[in-house]
Amino acid sequence: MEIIINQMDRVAADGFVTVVHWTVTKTQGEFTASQYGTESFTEEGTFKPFNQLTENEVKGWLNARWGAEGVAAKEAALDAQLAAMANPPVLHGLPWAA
Amino acid sequence: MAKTKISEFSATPGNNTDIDGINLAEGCAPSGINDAIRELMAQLKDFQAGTAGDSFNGPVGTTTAAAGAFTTLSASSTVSGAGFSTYLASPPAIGGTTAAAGSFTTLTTSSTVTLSGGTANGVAYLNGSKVLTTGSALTFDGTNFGIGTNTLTYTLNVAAPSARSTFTSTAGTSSVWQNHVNTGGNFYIGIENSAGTTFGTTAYASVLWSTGATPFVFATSGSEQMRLTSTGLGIGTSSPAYKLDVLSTAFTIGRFSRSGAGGSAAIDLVEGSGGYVRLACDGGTNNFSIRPAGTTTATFDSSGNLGLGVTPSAWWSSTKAMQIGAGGVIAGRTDTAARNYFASNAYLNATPAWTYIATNYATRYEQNDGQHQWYTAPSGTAGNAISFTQAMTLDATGRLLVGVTSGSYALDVGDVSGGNMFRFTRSGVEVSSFISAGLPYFGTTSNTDLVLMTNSTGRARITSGGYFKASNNGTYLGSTGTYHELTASGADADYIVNITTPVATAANCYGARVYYSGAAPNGTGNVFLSCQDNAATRATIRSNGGIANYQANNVDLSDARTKKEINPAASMWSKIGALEIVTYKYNDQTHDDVNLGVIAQQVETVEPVWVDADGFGETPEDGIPFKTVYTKDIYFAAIKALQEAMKRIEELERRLAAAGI
Repeated sequence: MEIIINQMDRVAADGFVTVVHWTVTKTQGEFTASQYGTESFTEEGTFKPFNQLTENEVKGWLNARWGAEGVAAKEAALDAQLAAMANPPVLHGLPWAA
Repeated sequence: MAKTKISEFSATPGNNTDIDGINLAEGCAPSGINDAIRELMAQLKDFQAGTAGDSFNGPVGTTTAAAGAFTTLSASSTVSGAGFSTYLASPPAIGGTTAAAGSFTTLTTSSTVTLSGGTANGVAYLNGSKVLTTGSALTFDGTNFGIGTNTLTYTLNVAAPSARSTFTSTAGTSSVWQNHVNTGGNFYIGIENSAGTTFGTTAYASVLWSTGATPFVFATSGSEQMRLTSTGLGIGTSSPAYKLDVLSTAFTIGRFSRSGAGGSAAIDLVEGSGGYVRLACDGGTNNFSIRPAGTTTATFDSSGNLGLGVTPSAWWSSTKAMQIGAGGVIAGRTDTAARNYFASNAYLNATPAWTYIATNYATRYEQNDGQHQWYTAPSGTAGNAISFTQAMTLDATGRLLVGVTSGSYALDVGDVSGGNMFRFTRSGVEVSSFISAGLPYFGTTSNTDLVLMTNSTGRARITSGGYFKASNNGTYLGSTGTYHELTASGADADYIVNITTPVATAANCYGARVYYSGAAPNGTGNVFLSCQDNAATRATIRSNGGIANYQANNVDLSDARTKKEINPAASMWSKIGALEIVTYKYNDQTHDDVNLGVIAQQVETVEPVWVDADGFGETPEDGIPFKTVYTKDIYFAAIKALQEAMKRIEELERRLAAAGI
């Protein structure tokens, strides 16, 4: 599972990151599943200047926030999506339309 | 009468002048007041105890008892009254399952009331039979409330096979909403009122309303799918940067569909002033069209061809084309990178064959395997095949071919209609070329000179009158003179005109000729050749054949180094004497003067070598060339004869002198 940091919201006055917009993806053959969302942070945490943050640090924040259980849940959700893509449980179409 | 009990008191204060005889009238003695109060307290005690005989006319006896915290009800005698007597006549069995009927308005207990039956946490209510009821259908544990459940996980828990809730405005026109509140703000779900003033929206609008600066998040399968923020609606993204921001890992990100077969579908892009562009999928064709203000200006067909102002024709599958307006075409091939088309009123149909788009002329330009090719065609009917003619080609080597499709010249003009090959025109003057009656013509049809140029200088010209003039420096004796002219200013040249016959066969060597083809001036004027300098005429060859010059200047080559077999000449005495010197006139003589001379045929009888029979000019009809005579030989023969005569004279003079004559 790959974590992608899409965007970060920060307080203009001090640069504290308040929201991290993330996407997790997983590819299996021709199919790619994804899930996205946000994690919010308050200024109670350890502050590091915005322009000194690295992608890996922010990913570390997310993993810490999610914990092993949360990460496993996301993996399971992506696996379920991939399974549904490979074998769609519901099909759409009209028998008389090409 | 002294007032001895409360029933004797008056409702009018002024009438209560005593109590049990103690004076309370206006101006009574103050010492009687304490006795009056004591008497009043005694009468009140008697009233409470019921010993005074007064009846109680308050709430007792009505249907509503005054509120009170009675713990004991007692009576000194029988209690009676309508309804009450019935109850008393058949009092309920305390501790039974059914309480007696009553009109209780207040039930007061001095401590906690505990019911031994019912459901723990069950909220008591009167069921349809007005039986006080508890159960798991309605529960409350002091913190959480349950409807249809006694699993009280949250503040309000509702459970049912089809769980539903309804909030109804009984006024009908008022707003109805639920409010969800925390420190992030208020979130309302409801319906706007009839004036649209509750949320400031529209009458009866269905409303999801958040007062916090927080997003609406929509999720399925435990995953966020859509988010509405103050910036916009994000689908597949939690941070929309636009009013609608869609992100997807799938190739097809979105779809707008129109139901029903054959119907076109469109979306509009509207600018701030209301102008719009409509993007449409045309019904039944899979074509994509762009329609500013609703009018189609561009159409992409399902084959990938583009029409600007027109629907593209049905092009050959190996071609991608852009059609512009009624007949403009730009097309490229998909099977080769080296062939493209620019055409007017022509398209390649499925065959493929070039076909008229409309009824009109068609032209075509191709870039084909390194060549530029221009084609023309006559006017034809829409839908019919076009017969193109390759009119011009710029080949891969840079040759421009006009009227031919191959050639070996930088400019190669072939068989064009009418034989006209090329023409260049400026300010009414033109230079052109054409072929007529098998003869190539180059020059100008303008009434002007035609100039040949080298090194940026005109070196020769043919005047408008047809006179050829050549000058190395472009300066002529008379550039407009009605004569041909050769002018040279070279300082190191021995001659300015050199007529050369390089052939090796002597019989084929010829020189120049001056030919009066139309007339025979045959005189001293109209000279064939005039030799002049800037001072005088030095020599002429006259039209009668005579040579006129400064006589003393005539010379013959006589150097011994140029001669061999030099021998004294034989006697010319008899030959000179045999010559018949005659007078005569030429047949075509233009004057009447008598000429003096010899006749070749007579000279030939005297000395054949003095006559030349090779001819002079054209041979007469009898086939015998004209004969000429070597006059210089006759001249020297005459000198020889004169020398012989001189000797004879000198001998005769010697003899005469010897004879003394």
